Amino acid sequence: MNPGFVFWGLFLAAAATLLAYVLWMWWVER
Amino acid sequence: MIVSIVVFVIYCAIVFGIGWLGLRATRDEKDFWIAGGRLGWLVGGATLAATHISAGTYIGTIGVIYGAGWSFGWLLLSIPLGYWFMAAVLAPRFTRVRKLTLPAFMEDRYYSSRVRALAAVIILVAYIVFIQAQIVAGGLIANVTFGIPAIWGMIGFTVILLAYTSIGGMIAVVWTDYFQLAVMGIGVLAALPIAIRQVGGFDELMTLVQAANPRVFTWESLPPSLLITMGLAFMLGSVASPEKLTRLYVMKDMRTIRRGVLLNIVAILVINLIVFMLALVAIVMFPALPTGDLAMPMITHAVLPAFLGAIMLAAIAAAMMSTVSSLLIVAGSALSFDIGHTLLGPAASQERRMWLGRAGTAVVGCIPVLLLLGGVGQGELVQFIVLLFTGLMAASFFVPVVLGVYWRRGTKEGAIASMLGGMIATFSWKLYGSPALDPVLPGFLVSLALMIGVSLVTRPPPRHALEPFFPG
Repeated sequence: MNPGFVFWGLFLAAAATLLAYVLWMWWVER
Repeated sequence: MIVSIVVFVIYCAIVFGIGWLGLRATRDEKDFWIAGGRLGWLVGGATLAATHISAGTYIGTIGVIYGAGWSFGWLLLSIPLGYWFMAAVLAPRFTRVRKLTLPAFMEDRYYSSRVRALAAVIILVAYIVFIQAQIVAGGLIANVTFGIPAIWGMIGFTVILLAYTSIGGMIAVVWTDYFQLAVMGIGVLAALPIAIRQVGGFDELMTLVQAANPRVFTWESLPPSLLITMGLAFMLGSVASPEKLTRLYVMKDMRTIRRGVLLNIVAILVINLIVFMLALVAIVMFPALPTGDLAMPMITHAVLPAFLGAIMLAAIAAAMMSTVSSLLIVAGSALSFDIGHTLLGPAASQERRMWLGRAGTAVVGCIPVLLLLGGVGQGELVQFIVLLFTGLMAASFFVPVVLGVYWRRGTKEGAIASMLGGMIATFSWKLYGSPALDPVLPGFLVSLALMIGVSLVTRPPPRHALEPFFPG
């Protein structure tokens, strides 16, 4: 697999997870 | 050398100062074991993160990425998912009844003091092994930095840890965690740009890493089955480790817990991603280390300027100490509060209870270093001890705790079988099973099967045990 994906993919996935958590928190407390 | 000593002494002085304030602020048993149970999200989240991030991250994770490549880093994603599950699914029901320790929760839900004693014994044994691994890492740091024999470093760290933990209790633990998380963050944030500049910039780093080891950015070094099951270990272990669950009692309400978990996730992601990058620098600059566990000490020693190296050293020590202090207080509670409370009787004063707590914590803290002096328990890479410990906690506690608050039919017999079976299966797989699969998967499945199977064939729980956890 493309080395760039193995490397940068992790940063993107981490940011996406974080965003999802924040959205969930907002949804629970709205 | 002098700079390192000065920074380290200042760091220790602050930690001791907080320990002393903890002693003054501790008025009763609730303060001693769960810091009064009224913390806000900032300190609550920081203590969760500081407890999670251990020498396993600053010595172990970097060591594994150094050896096995970036694919190991993808495991990181399992951690926020675990904590999300904790905040969204487990915490709302787990905190309906607020106890002081996890074994005390088990006693209430499973209406049996035997369940409590068993949980306490599992905690004690597993924590002693885990504390040992952390202390070994501490000895390594002391050896590389100060040039003293590793065993003296181990004894030194134990004395410092016991001094503030057993005196100041959970209040000292959470506030030192807060301070220590800040030190950890400053350490890696300051180190990263300097380390990257040393190898000639980011693009240069990427080229050099791939030249040094073409497999770094591939999935080839670790079998996918192992990666996925190790991720499962981190996910379940993040939720079910008693030192994490106790943090739910420490924070004051659900809103605080959600925010605290967010801070915890941010801190874990940021610190880990920077540590991964430092592993790449180590691959380029020190391609032939005898063990990956030396990567971070080498960066501290040979890449960073003296002052930053000293801060980084304090950060590594902080990572180790903030985890061990949390383990000590929870293991101390297992010994004094869950097992030793029968010594005192119900009429004992708060003062006497706290002193029993201090004594128990001190006893638990001395065992790992005594075992090390006897030559027991040195060897494996720190990260793999962390993983085994995490797997053991996941296989022993995840099912009885989560099903305990979601499944009315769970019985005490089921809980005992689940804890013991999960633990034995994890150990057996570690010793005899295929190394391509992390032991947590068989451990977890055995734990789940026994919980359900044994509960269904034994008498349902009495109403009084269920009412607090399933109101209405």
